[in-house]
Amino acid sequence: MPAVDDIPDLPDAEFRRCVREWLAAHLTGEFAALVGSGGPGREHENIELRMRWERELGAAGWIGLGWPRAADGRGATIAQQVIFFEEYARAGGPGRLSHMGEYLLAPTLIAFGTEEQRRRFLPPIAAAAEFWCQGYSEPNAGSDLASVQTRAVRDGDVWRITGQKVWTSLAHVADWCFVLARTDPDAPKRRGLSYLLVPMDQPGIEVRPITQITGTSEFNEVFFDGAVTTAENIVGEPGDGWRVATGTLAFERGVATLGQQLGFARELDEVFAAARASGTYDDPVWRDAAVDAWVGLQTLRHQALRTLGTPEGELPGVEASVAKLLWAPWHQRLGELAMTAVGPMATLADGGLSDAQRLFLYTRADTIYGGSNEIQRNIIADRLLGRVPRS
Amino acid sequence: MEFGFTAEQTDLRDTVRAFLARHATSPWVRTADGFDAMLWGRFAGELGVTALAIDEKHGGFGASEVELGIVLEEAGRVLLPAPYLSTVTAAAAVDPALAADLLPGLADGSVIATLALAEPGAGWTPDRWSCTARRGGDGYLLDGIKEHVLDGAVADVVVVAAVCDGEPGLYAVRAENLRRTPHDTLDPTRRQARLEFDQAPASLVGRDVRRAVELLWAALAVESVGVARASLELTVDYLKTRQQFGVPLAHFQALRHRVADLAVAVEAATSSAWYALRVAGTEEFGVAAPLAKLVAARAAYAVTAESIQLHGAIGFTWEHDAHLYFKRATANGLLLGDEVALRRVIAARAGL
Repeated sequence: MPAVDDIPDLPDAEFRRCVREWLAAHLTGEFAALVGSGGPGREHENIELRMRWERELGAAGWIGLGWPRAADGRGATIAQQVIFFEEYARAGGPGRLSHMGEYLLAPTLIAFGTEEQRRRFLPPIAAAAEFWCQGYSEPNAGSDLASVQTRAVRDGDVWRITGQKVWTSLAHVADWCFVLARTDPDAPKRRGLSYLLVPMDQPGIEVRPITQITGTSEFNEVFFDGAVTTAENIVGEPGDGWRVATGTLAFERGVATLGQQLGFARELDEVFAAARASGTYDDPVWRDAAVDAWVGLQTLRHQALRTLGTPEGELPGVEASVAKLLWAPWHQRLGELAMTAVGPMATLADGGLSDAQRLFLYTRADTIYGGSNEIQRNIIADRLLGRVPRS
Repeated sequence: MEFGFTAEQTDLRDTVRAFLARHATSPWVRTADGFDAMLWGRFAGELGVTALAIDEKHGGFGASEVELGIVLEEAGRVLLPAPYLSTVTAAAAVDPALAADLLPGLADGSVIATLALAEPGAGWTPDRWSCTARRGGDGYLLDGIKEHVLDGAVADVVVVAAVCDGEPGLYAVRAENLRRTPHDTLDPTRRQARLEFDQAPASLVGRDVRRAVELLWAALAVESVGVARASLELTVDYLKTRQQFGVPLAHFQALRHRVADLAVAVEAATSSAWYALRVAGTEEFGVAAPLAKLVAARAAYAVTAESIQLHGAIGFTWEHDAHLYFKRATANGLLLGDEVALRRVIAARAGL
């Protein structure tokens, strides 16, 4: 890890060499077992070891790389952040556990939090001393997120929270949860919400794992029964929750997607290899579909490069939605291709799911989480066609 | 990687767009029958857009493929029935060291040029072309037949891919030395011609036939982006104004989601087309150009076909412009290799 002060001034090639050398030197010993783990369909694996790996990353200063220097970050340029993701993917670094703190909560605190909140919460995220989960979705508030019913009531020096969250990834390892809760039931839907920071280790919170389509469990139900957090653990004012929760989405420009695409490229290579082994690769009809998948991957890359390489304000402002609508169906299609590469063997699961089956099953989630594809289409249509007045 | 535009490039786009909005209106595009000499004179002469990527010592401005792309995208937006794409791709394909006599005329717009590549029955597969050049007269004599030559009936000079002693090359032939048969075309806004060469006097103007094909792919790609964007804007405007069931069509989610999907396709096509133009000077162009053409032509087809559907019956009429966009998108998809042919090229070049 180069000296913090030097990072933004390092030439890209030099920075890349630093990242690559650090990963080569540290993804060894007990961490060698993590190479390639925690990916799609494997997100439940090696949790304890991956937490230690996060601390290894944090100790070296790789978490919060893109945060501004003033917020305890390293102030890395966008190009450097992309390089980090690329090298991380190239080295086969395991699926991350600190991403919800680093990429969702931290930008929110930087944009909307108080100085005290930034001082309290950002350093432990950067050190991987505290892990976060996202308390947004509820049984009756999925795509219609503003319908959140979990209640938070001010009681002296604390907020008391009662309700249920669902699809909460990594809640079972998280120390904190950022919770969207209704603090004013009489206000219009979007105005009655608040954004609260809630410690997970307390009697009023129960986490129950949900078994997923893959048979494994990475997400959870979280029950709040009078759970408490201190009064200052609110981001923005009471009633600001919707603005705070959605505000940071607009900053997303897809820095992570270029690294993600290296993972995709590796998966595509594995599909090609499986097809060569099974003989499917020689079928020109199958190969045509495979080449189309390769073409699609290049287009994902071109889209990400153009988004990052175009000055802000010269793009339509819906890049995150465009990117999601491009990569999620592409990844899903790759899962299908992986299955056809091995044909009827893909119906057997002796000894557990194969990589192809994991990819195939897991990618059904890609078009749902983080705002379903239908919601992404709504966002783009609102921009192009204007919003539809509610009757 | 830089994808932004400089202030000069943005000015160029604004100037070209304003000029075309004033002169290349729908009624004019429809009556031009593929070519209007007066408009061509002003477009090339006054705006100087044919000179952009030609070196200064040959009468050009020494700009790059990016500037050409800007004008081509704008030309695509209005379905410009002028030999712009043909002339600038021919100019970019020749070797300046061999074509010093030709380039100044291409730069000032006094000479219209086009690339002649495909042959009857052989399409755009270079190893199946059989046009030949041999030494004779003051330079070379050319024999053979070329098909699907864009703007071939109005070109003053044709840059022909031919083989001489087993070596592929590009040969310039003046219009008076060849026989041309103009075609009526599915896309009335861009004409094609069949050209026959019978011991036609020719001069060697370039050796890189492969790059000539790649330049045309990239040019068709970025032009298709313009076609797709204009067609999508036309459709969006219509959905916002057309009322049914007491509300604008834009209120119906069934239509809104389709428009969103089209917008995603247009963004992706824009990215791949501009990526190709940004790597035009590198080895990557060999894959990026056919890939851009594939992706952009597919997007243009999707948008223009959906545009007809989203307009309803009015979109099926001759009077409405929807069909003109649809026909240009269709032609751009089939010329220089359809999707399957391009995937074959990409697979071979990417080692898949």
